[in-house]
Amino acid sequence: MNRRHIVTLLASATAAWPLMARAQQGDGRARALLSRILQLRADGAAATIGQFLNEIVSQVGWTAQLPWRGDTMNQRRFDALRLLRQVPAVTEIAFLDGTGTEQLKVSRLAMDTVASKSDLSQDRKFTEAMAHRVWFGPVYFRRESEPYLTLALAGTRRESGVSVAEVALKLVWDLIWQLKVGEHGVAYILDSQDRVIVHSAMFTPPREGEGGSYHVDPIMYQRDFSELAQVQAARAAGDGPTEVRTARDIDGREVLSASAGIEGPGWRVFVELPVAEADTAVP
Amino acid sequence: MNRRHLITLLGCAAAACPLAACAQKGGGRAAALVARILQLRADSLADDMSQFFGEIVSQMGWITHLTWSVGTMEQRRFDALRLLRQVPAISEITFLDASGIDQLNVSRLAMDYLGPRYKGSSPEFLKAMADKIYYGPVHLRRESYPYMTLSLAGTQREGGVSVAEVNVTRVRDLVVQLKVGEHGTAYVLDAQGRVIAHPDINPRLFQADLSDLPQVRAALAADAGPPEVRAGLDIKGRDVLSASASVAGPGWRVFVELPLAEADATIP
Repeated sequence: MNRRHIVTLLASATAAWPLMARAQQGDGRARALLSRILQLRADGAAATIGQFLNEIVSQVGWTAQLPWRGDTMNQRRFDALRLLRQVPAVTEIAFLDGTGTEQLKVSRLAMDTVASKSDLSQDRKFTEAMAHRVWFGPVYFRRESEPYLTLALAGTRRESGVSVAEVALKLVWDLIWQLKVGEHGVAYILDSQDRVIVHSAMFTPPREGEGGSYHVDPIMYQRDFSELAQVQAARAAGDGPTEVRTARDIDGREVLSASAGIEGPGWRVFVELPVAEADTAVP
Repeated sequence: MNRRHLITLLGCAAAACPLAACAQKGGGRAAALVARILQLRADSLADDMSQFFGEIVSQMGWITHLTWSVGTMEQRRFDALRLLRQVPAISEITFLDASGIDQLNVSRLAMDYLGPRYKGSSPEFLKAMADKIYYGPVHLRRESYPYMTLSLAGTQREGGVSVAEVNVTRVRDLVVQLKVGEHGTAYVLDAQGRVIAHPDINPRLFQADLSDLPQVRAALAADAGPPEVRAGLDIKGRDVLSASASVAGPGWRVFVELPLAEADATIP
């Protein structure tokens, strides 16, 4: 190679260099933009679920305004019927008086129960609501696949007692079903012990000719995700903001992971995209 | 230049070419990602506003179950007081009976019930009777606090109409607090393209007609179509990228915009 070759080569290399740098820089920027999208999607899902629960709390709040007296039973019954009419997600409402005794239960599915006098004074629905005003119980399933949550709300005065609502979580399930990002991305919600409440892998689309939006296989339910690095980082951040990070998912794939906390029940939404898709997907 | 030079040069060019393509493609992909972000932000702002109104409407639903009779008057007064306690944004409730007569008024601010008056030809009565819900225009109280009239028909026709005065400062707060890149903005227009809320502090901007901005005209015309991020102009004439989304309920539209000059540099 003579000197002229070297000059030509160098000249070509300098011509190529800004392009290379730009491509590289472009990649870093694309990754930053992608991370922003994942974070916005996690934030959006967390806000929607938080608002859904919040609105139910404030609707149930109507029923926790009155003190318990003999003459308020009719007003209570009217309130219970209005609540069921106003909030389709609430399937049952029970009123406990200030001593934790059940005074009235109105349900969409069963006959009303008046003054069952069941003693719930040691039950967490009563004790936790009395202590913290609002209590979100664990998620449970009816008919094997319909998710529910017990929500208990104390009135502003002790003698107002506690209103206990059974809340259908179908809206939350629908949201996670729709939240899949990219081709093989996942979305899930963990409870305050880092156990799975719902995971997009629990859903399969309906078979051809079937009604409904999806099938649910609750096999992932309650699986412990606390060993995942992204989950530990999110817990460590508490209420503060978290960064989108690269981590391993439960199957060992490398993913970009974003998360956001849900106000109220202490849940957290995660939205994850396989790194293999990070250069092509617009999630 | 001899042949070997040429080969060397071509070799380098070949090496550089995919990079150039890559940079270009990267630019195209970055632009697609920026557009997606603006759209997600417009959607989420519109959702926040829809939820604000959705919650007010569903809380008001509590007071729409009764028919009119002397016996229900006390229940109505009681319901109105409970509603004011549940929803801080509502400042006043008026009940119109099925013939449009103002029968009861409960207000946080004043004791200004003037006795029965006929309001049967007002839009808050007529439109609610026809469509169940009526969202009135936004007006400013004391030249600064935005309020609107929202009315809801009873579940039965004899139930009349419940009319609420709603403080919508929250709409302005949502818009002002939104940070989009360095100099991006968000604003809200009504269905005719007039300003409901804008971060520019000029008070004369309230109700200014922005329907001549190209992105506004296109968005209002393509209301039902899929969302699209467009090039447009801001009120100062600068080029912007603009995403928009409609607010379910009042029929408003939010716009989230990033100056084009920033579109290659910031993360909106």
